[in-house]
Amino acid sequence: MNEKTMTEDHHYQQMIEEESICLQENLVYERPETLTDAAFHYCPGCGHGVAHRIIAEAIAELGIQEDVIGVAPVGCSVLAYNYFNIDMQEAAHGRASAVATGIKRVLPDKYVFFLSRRWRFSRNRNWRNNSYLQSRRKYFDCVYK
Amino acid sequence: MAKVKGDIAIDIERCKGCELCAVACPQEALELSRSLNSKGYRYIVKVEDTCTGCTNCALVCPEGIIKVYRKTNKGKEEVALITNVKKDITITVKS
Amino acid sequence: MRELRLMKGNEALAEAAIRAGCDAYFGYPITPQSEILEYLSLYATERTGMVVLQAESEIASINMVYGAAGCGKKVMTSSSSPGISLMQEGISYIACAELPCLLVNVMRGGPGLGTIQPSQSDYFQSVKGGGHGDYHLIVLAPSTVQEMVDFVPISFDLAFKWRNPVMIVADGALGQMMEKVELFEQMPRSSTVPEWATVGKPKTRERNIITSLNLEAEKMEEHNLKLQKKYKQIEEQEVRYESINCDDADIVLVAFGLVARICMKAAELARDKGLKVGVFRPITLYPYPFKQINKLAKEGKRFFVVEMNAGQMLYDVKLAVNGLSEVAFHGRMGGMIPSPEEIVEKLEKQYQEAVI
Repeated sequence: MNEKTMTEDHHYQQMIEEESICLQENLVYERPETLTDAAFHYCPGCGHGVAHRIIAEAIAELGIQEDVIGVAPVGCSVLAYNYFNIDMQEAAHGRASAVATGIKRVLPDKYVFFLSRRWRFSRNRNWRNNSYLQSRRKYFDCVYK
Repeated sequence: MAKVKGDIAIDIERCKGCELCAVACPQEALELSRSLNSKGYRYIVKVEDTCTGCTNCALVCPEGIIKVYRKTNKGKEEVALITNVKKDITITVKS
Repeated sequence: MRELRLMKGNEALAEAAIRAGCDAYFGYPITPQSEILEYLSLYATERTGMVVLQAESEIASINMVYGAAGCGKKVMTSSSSPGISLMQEGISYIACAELPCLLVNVMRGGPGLGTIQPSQSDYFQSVKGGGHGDYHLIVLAPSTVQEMVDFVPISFDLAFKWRNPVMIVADGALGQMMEKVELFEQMPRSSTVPEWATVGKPKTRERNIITSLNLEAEKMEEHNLKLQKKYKQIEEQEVRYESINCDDADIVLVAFGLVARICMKAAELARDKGLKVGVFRPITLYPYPFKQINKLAKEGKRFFVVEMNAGQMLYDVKLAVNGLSEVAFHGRMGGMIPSPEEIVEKLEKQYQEAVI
């Protein structure tokens, strides 16, 4: 082996080592396609972003993007319908569980989820537990955080 | 032992510098940069070359802006062949 | 083959809802309209598979209607005056999001918890607002149990044509009284999905969003202008009214709903006494037949408005008359129903010079 070839081999070896790992075939995780391209407006580090992403990942993994309808509440995630690439509805303050019930009842084969804060299930504190419990009674998929 | 090498790609324009990924990284390979993105946040950069592509950072990121790549350098394949179950168990290493 | 039945107003309306292919009813009981929920829960699901759900409150009902209407389904709810008050926020949301639905208000005496007897004191609430914001409901006022039946499919058609909620305002007496009705044939439940409905995003289209929120004022104004344009078109195309013997009348009784029927009898009695009285009955309270009343005013007729409230439609009549003629009023409140004789007596007192 002459010197030149050795150098070429060595150079090639180095090139392999320095070759970028960031190739499509090596991709193990990326933002799910069930989220739109819109940037989240939440505070840095806020759990809303993580929750949105996890829900979107679940929708993508289950393959139900065409069969899911989401309900956005009033609160920080009022614009959740800008972030999920699915059909969504906006609910009145504290009424997300009722809106979701309406949807699930007329489309029983679809998956329905709503976002809400625990104690905000109903704005009127007297209905607080009532509305949430009623919605659980109606057996549909719900998400709260 | 297969060597796992990973890399991440961060969308620095969308990073808000919350540092959840820096805390989650088991290799402690992520830190806030000194410079700011166009929104005024210090964004996360990779400071060590020890990424294993474990996806911890991407899983905690509230913005969902981290892409994770992982490459395994496969060594010799080791396959155990069991030829005779009852009497002798002969294990042949094929490479 | 005509199907004739003797039915109570509420039950006739419920039967009409089933036959009109309604997909869902979300309601809450309140006198005097609980029979609607009861009738539907007994018969609807096994006949057409319609969803019938008693919600935990009127507020929950109207929000369920919002959710289901957003899926492009024929949905309805019903309540009485205090319950409709609770629903106002939801109604405003439905109107802004341009969703079709049927609302039924079987009015009772108020204000407050009131009585369970009939009244017409929700005219302002239904026609002039009720909920917040610049919106209108299409409002229909039946005056017979037959109209309680006939208006249901008409209301659904209007709701889907204009993507607007439609309200039927009846009253407690109409809801409870029994009359012979001719029922129409069962219509099949619709399987068409409107292109704006949220039914799960297929790959072939962008996602649909049903919302009444718009944080940019310019966009919100655009949306409001779009709604106003729609209402203008509704005002031009959907006015319905009934005019009885108004051509040769000197005095026109203006009334809606059940009171219009009482006025028809009063007009007969007045004619027997030599008074030339006609009856003008608006069927759509929104859009109101302003032009038609104005025309009657220009012909020199005088008006006598009779309502079961303190004077609510009275103002629309005055607007329509626009100062061209006299407008007088007689009202009963709190659940009291005027009798034909009473109306004639008040009429005579008001227009003494007309008495021969």
